[in-house]
Amino acid sequence: MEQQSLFVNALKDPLTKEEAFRKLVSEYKERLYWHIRKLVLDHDDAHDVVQNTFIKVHLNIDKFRENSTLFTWMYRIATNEALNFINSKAAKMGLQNQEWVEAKAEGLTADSYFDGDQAALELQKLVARLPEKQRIVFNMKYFDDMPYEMISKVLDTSIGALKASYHHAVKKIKTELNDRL
Amino acid sequence: MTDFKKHNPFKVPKGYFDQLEDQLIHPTDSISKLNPFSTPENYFEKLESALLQQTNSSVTSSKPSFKKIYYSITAVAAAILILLTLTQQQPPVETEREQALNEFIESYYLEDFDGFEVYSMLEESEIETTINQILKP
Repeated sequence: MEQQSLFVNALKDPLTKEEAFRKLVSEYKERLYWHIRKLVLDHDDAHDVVQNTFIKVHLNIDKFRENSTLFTWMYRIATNEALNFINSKAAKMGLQNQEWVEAKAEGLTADSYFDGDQAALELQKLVARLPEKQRIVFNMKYFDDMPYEMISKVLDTSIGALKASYHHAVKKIKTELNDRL
Repeated sequence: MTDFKKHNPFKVPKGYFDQLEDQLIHPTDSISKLNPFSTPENYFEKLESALLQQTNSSVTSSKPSFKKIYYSITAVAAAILILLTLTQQQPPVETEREQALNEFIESYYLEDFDGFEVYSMLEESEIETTINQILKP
């Protein structure tokens, strides 16, 4: 935590900000990109969201009070940016958020940046059909192996509620997969 | 008897309850946990420089330029001018007293009233104006 404070101070100090931000980007770019990518599914969309996320981090670092870890804070910004992105894209097309995500998942077969087999494709389609909160929790827990304590801090939700969400998500996916595969 | 009832004769493997939760909520192993998504070649190397460029430009653009301030002030001044012009061009609003007088004149025959009654409904300044206007050649 002390090491984090030093790093955050470097990010806030105009003299060291640029160098510290370079380190921050280098350290977290991939983790944040993959978190966002699993939510928005498309590479170009993920690229837009990851850029917005880092710009927000850069502009708001002075407001970061270290009530959470830097990573948790950035993950929270990334999640919100991804959800806002989906919201705005869906609204422009006159769709519900979930409909937009489902359409994206259906389009993965034609996506040159999707290398999954049939099972992986079916799994993505099923994940897209989950309610928003369950979808986020499933991605963070199943694919990223993130501990509940951290997910709880990122999503500001109790661990009990997260376990319930994950349990429901897994149950739905298992049932559907057994029918499909 | 009580001791007999309390004793649990069944056993579980070591560490069973620690793993139980994960086993219960873990999906089938047949589903690959491998990441099926990919990125363009060297994407993350390019991303880093793109991000640094983006944030630098966002910092530059966040500082208000002299041009922006000048245009903002000009726009506000123009808006105030237009507002003032429009307000002045509007016909004067009839006061309640004037309205009552007009209604009175429209509703009754003036010849039934003497000059004193009509003058009592006007204010001194208005009477003077009227007299001055009459006196003008």
